[in-house]
Amino acid sequence: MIENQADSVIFTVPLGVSAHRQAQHFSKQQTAPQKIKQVYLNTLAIYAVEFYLRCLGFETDLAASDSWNPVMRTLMNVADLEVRNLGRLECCPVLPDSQIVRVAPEVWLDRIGYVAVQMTETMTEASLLGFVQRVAAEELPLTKLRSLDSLLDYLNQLRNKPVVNLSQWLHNIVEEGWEEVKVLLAPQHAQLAFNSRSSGIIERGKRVYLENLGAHISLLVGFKPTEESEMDIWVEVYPSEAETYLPKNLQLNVLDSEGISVMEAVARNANKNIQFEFKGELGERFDVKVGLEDFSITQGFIV
Amino acid sequence: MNGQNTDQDRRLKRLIEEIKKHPPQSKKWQKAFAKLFKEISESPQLFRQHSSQLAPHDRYVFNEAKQDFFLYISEHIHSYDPQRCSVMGWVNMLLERRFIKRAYAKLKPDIIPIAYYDLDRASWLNGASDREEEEELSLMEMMKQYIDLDPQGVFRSTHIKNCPEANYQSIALQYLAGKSWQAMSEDFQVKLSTLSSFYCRQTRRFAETIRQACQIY
Repeated sequence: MIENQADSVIFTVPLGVSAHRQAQHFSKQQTAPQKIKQVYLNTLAIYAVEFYLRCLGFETDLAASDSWNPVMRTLMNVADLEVRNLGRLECCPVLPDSQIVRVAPEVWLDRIGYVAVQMTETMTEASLLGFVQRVAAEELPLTKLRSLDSLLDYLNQLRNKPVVNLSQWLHNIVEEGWEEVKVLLAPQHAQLAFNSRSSGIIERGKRVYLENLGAHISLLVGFKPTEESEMDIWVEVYPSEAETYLPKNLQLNVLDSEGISVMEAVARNANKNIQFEFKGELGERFDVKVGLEDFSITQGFIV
Repeated sequence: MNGQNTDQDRRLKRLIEEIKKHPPQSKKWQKAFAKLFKEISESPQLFRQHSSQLAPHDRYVFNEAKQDFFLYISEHIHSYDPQRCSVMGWVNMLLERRFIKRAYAKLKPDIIPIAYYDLDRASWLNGASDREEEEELSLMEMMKQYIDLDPQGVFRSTHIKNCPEANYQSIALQYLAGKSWQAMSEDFQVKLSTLSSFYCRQTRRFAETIRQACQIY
């Protein structure tokens, strides 16, 4: 079923009374037969993935998941599980004997991945088959799944390098250290930053300490929310309050999800700031790297 | 205890040694623990592994106990002493003496029988009714009515850029009536993913308003 059968371990979770009781509770709030089934299966799939992650030492937060919100669960086909500090994993139930996994279009965005969970006929067990990072179709053949081993690699990579979730800024959920621009920047720099701004934008910044310089600079990231799935994003660096210009040779890079540098600039003698603008698809990942000589810091983002 | 020094026991002991070598929850620890989980889960020596005479409810209780047991050993693998007994002996002892008892005890106060879902027939087992309280409107009906009513006019006025027909109210009601994203995409002449992502984000935005209006707690 899965490529690389030899080193891929399928993880089969026993489903107990608590899982079924929760699934019953949620699905009995529904009346349409199709919706009852959907909610029942989704809840069991979430339970299975949650058990797997907890066994392996990841912290999960059901209460922060859309699937645990009665409004979201009723109005959408959601089976997300919030993994603390990493993001939402979608837990997609797969029917016994099915060769495909279905992913509803309403959950194509802002997920860190999609785990396929196959139920047995009696639903006493659920098997985690594998995962994919992104989807763009309602059906995915199980043969396209990556192994659970790669899921662990991927989650650990995210854990070691926490990402900043830009969409969450819209809901005022902000990672530590990211402040409003007017708080962060010295007035003379803030003036420059605000000159080119239109209204309805979201922008925050963080101090980045450059060890080898013994000083910090400010990294700003902003975006203009739209109804489209693509939005304008900009990344800027400014000097600290005490300075007028950026440190000479300060380098700013934007890396795509594969880690390839797609934008690059270096500060010369008298640069007040460096700015990049680009478009990002919701759910897309990118990294920003700030470097000076042999020192560099990378911050990951998810649109 | 039985099963000392069999091939399987030696393999399980080696796995536990391997797990103990790595810092808990590190990647190598996780991969080794996942292997141990699989070996134990599939072991023919596992307590009640092959008891087909288990009543369905007992099967779920036993599964509950297995879940609790694995969560326990994920934190207490160091408490296993290879000198004292075989791995499966240790596992079965913990399951039988501690976790199965606890799982039954956990369920005791539960006077309402659990209705399991029959995937094949798409209906409830145990003769439970389709709804806990038949006389109440379902959550979905309440939300549909509220979105349809739209007392503040926000659902109608929130729409996809340059396409007022593709407003939240219209999308939500069509979606809840079972219309496919593909069909809506063709009707509105809007890309499918634009439509579904708009719906998702706006639903999240309106969720609290809808919850309060429909008095869902």
